[in-house]
Amino acid sequence: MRVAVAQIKPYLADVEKNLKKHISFIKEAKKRGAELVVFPELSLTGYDLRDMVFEVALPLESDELSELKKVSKEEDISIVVGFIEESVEYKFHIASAYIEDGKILHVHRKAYLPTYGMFEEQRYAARGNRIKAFNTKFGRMAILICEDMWHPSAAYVAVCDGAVYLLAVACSPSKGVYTPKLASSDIWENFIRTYSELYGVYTIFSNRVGTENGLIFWGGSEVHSPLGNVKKASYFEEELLITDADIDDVRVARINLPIFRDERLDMTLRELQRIVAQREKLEGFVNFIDVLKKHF
Amino acid sequence: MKQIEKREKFDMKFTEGLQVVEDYTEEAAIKEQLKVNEQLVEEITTLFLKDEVEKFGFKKVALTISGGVDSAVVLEFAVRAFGEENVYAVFLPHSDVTSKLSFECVEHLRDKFPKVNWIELDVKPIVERFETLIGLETNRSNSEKLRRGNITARVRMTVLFDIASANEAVVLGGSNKTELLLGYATWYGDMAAAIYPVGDLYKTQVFQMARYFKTPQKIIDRTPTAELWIDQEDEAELGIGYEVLDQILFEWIDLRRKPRQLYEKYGQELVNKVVKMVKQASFKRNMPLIPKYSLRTIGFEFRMPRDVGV
Repeated sequence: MRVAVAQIKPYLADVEKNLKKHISFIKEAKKRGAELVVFPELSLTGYDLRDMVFEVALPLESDELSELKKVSKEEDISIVVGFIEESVEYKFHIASAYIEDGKILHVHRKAYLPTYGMFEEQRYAARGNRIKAFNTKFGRMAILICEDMWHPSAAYVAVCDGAVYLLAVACSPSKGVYTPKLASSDIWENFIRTYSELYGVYTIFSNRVGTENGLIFWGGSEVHSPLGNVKKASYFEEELLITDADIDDVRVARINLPIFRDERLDMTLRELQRIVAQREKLEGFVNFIDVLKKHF
Repeated sequence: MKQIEKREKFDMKFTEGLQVVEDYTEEAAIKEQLKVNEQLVEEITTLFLKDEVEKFGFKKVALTISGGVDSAVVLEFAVRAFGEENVYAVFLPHSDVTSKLSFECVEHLRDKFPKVNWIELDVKPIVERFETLIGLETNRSNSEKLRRGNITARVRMTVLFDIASANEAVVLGGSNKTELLLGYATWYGDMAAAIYPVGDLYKTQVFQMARYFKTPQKIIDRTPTAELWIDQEDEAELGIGYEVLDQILFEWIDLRRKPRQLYEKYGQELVNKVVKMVKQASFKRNMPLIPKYSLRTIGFEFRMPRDVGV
């Protein structure tokens, strides 16, 4: 598979302008031989929307998404696009859709909404409740949106569900300028490497650039192969990164390091169920940890 | 030696929320942690300025130059982001108050950046007219000194905004993190700006950037002063040196230590004094209060992002 990562700088709360930008990046990606183009989190709307969430939200049947479905068919290219999804129950989700052959194949709703420090996502958005892999014509994939990736359990579920391509889309802002590397890029690159090489999967990381209300998004998108080969976009600048992501690397990686083969889902599940049951039993105890130590 | 090794190890790690190793609670270690990666700060700030100013639909910026380190560093960033010819550097001395040293420092900056649009205007006649009209006798008491200082700062603001408007430039402010936290600036005076390029750098970090930029040595060596009256010195007026001040603020705010955890190291009185100043200045860091009673009040249910539609 030849994949393009569209490291764009969206306009804040201007879906029309962003749609145009998407189409020009899609056409360029197609011209350069890409079969899949991955846009960052909230690529159609921008990130720090606050109240504008409710004004830029799109139902899945919206004209804007239909336009992208049309383009995917016309140009024969698959597209991952980020937006605010307005559900039929009027819940607003941070979502990314996988579009193939004129159809939406899968929608992932961000499961972990950071609401601490500089983030206030849960003030506006509803949580997604599923992490699910899906089949595409290039192999089985899963989408994880930004904070989802900070929960190793989410990546674990996606991999257990058979994903060999993790599509990690993000709006990661700069933070921590005291070390040789920007702290936020350092930790992202660390866990992308860990997931890719331990689980034997590709991580296709699409992070945005540009600034919003003082936030500075650092880009540095990458395609990390399970064998540890990295194709990387620049930091801070708009770029269309194009590279091959050959599934054969997954095969070789999983022969070399069969972590995935040796995973014991039944044991993990049993232990998690035990822990959940114990926690429920202990809820209400003030000295939670003390009780835990004493009883188990 | 051990310290250096640990520091290197520390460097390799993600610093956010990290439990700091025991040795690092010492003064030297905090000083070390306060140091920023200059190249990264330069790159990010330059890019940020360019992006935001372009988004507002502008190409040029204007700022006041005082001869001090903050405005010098903002100028360094501005020149990198926009090029000398797109920067309006406005020097507004008060000929009775502004020291010879300040004039010399500004001269050095002019030598360094000759293609910047330099504007110089003595604000003394405007300030004096103000004082006469409102019946303010000069230098009589401390409170009058302060009123006079604030008037000077607000006159400068008025002149700067006019120059910015006439030249289609965005106003950059010189406030740093230490100053904003303490409120050591004039509200709607020198605080008035669209962007604070050094607003996330403590004073000592601004000095670090000045050394990195090779800002004229005279500016780096001089004693910090707001220069709103003769012989005013920041550290004497605040009653605390910037080095210790920044360390207290950094430990309390950035490292989230509780003030009482800092008593032993810095002294209870000093810590409480700093905390009190930061609290008292909170109003300067927020927009004015609005009584809430409508269905959708600005600042409560109505939260439109600043960068929307630009």
